[in-house]
Amino acid sequence: MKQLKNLLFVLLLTLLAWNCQKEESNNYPEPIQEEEDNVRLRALTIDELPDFSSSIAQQTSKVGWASKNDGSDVVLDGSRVLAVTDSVGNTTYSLRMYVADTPHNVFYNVVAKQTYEGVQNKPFVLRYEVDEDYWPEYVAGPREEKPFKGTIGVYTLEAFGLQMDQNGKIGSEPEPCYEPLESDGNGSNGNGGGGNANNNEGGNDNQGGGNHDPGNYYDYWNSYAPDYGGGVGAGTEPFVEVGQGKFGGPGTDGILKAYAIMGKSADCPEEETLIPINEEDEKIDIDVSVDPCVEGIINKLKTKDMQNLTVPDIGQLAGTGHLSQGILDLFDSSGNYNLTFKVEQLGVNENGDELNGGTIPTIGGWKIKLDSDLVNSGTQLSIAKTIIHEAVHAYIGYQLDNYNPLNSDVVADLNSLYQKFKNENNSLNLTQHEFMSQYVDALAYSLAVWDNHRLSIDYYKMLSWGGLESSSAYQALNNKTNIQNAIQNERYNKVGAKSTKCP
Amino acid sequence: MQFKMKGIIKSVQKAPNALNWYYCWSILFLFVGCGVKMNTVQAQNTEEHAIIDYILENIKGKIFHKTISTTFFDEDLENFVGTINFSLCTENIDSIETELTISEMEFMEMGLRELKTKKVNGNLAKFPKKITNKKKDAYFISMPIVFRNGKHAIYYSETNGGGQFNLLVKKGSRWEGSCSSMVWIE
Repeated sequence: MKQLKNLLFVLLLTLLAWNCQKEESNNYPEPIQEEEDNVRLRALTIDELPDFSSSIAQQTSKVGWASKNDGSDVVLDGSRVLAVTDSVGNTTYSLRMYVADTPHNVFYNVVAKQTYEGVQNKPFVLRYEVDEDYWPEYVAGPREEKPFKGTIGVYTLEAFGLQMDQNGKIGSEPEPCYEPLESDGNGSNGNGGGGNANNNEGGNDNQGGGNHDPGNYYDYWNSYAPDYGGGVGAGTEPFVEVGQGKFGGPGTDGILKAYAIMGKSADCPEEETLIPINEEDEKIDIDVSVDPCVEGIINKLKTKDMQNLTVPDIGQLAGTGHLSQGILDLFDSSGNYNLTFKVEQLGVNENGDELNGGTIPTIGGWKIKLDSDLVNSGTQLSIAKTIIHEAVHAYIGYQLDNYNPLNSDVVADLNSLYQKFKNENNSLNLTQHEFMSQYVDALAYSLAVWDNHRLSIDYYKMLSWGGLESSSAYQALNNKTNIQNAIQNERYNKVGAKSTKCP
Repeated sequence: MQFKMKGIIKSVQKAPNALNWYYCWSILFLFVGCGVKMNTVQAQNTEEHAIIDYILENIKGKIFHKTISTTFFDEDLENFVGTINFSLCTENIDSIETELTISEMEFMEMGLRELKTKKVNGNLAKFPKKITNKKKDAYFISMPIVFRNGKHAIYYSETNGGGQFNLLVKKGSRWEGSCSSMVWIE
């Protein structure tokens, strides 16, 4: 019996040893893949990158630095420069360039590489055009699951500067570096290659002109690298898509993903480069239910007042800020919050009153719903007024979400109003509208800016009282009848309306 | 042999007894279990009734006679649990009480998902005059969800211009409203 036990013990040991060996022998080498750790991605500001900044300045003096709401035709945004450093120490910088009248699915980056030896290469421009069919998916993201698909055009930065006249307006579309290549249309991976190269030394011949789509079809743009901190938004940045290759060269997994581009002009990039896609961080999402007219109203509400400039204050040459512009800009530049606009039938409430709009908190932002009846039967002024009103609700939500007892006057004010209304049935509605009633002048001014100050400020004020009827300030007014007439005229495009409906 | 036979007979006699005891214990456990569960449900119902009484007592106007389980826009209330923000009420309540833990949020989501429409009148409330079956100017409420061992509760309320979650705290034997969080606003 004892012998049997010993035998069993030996057998167990043997089995264990055999298994260990088996496990070891299964450790066959995996396909070589570039580790994420070899790529370091940071988000910086242009102020931290004097070499990059001066290399841009050498290329063009006409393109200015600003946010996208600047009003110029071409502006560079230095607030978030992505920097990718490879294992050797070469770093590629990428910042956003905003070009006026750019289609919604197109964005531009200015890219430059600094070698590990500190040599700053010439910056160039990449024009990303996301496939229209893919756009809704791309926007919904996240980038880890929805990488870039579309065409990438390469331009010299100089080309953009050269096209700008003295007023900062683009006269004609810049010429791309490369001749457009035929897309395979389906973004198939791992094929193509040099066979499609157009050895066209001229490079700028666009075959018939007008076709300035110089890109080459990508459905794959290699890797993602998390932000390793440093610069703005350290540790909070979303994943960024980082390309690698010689504009169509192999990806980080070694597979050739797109056709190589050749036939370039002397100023165009040549070296293999890591390129972070610095896509537009669009935090204001306009749902497909929003028609172009309403989208236009929203976009115009984002722009500064260009009429009331107090010359010679140079700081205001880019326009004067106002309420809706400030709020929409806040969301546009926010790394954490989205603002979504949607149009739908909101119906009538239990008292038979039509709802013009509503603001609803979502995970990671707010949704503004505009009533389809308002959009269809109200004037544009009435729609703009409603958008401003709802945007302020979203702003209040933003303030509450970022509550800091030490520095939030807004929350302190809201809190004190809430104490007054907390025992009312609709305490938050009363609190927020009472709060907003203190800023009717600001609401009205924002509306006036949107309307190019076409009418008297008093008229914009009357409209801005819409939705604030529960407030004590409104109750104290003497001209409530006139106010309601103006509101109703614009809401239903009546004879007395001073604006027009969306076409 | 005789001894063995006696043993067998004894064990056979014992077996049914043991079996009987086994059944008895099971049934007893079942009763106790059911009793505990019934008590829990009863306690929960008692708290729900107390909360609705509290709301009715303090309401300005009237409550619609049926509770609701979605918003005016027909959106499920559970979708808004992640947006709950009681930061407006730092003066009324300890900030720890205003923050929901992940498990509390999960519990809340489940509770809101399973909300049923109930009649507020009948034996649910002590204030029948404050209940109306007319929707105009009515105040709509959901059934409350009691949590934190019966010390807190959340219910949804809606009027013409918006909807909000309301946080209630039990102080002694009384429920008290302490804070609100927006779900939608006109």
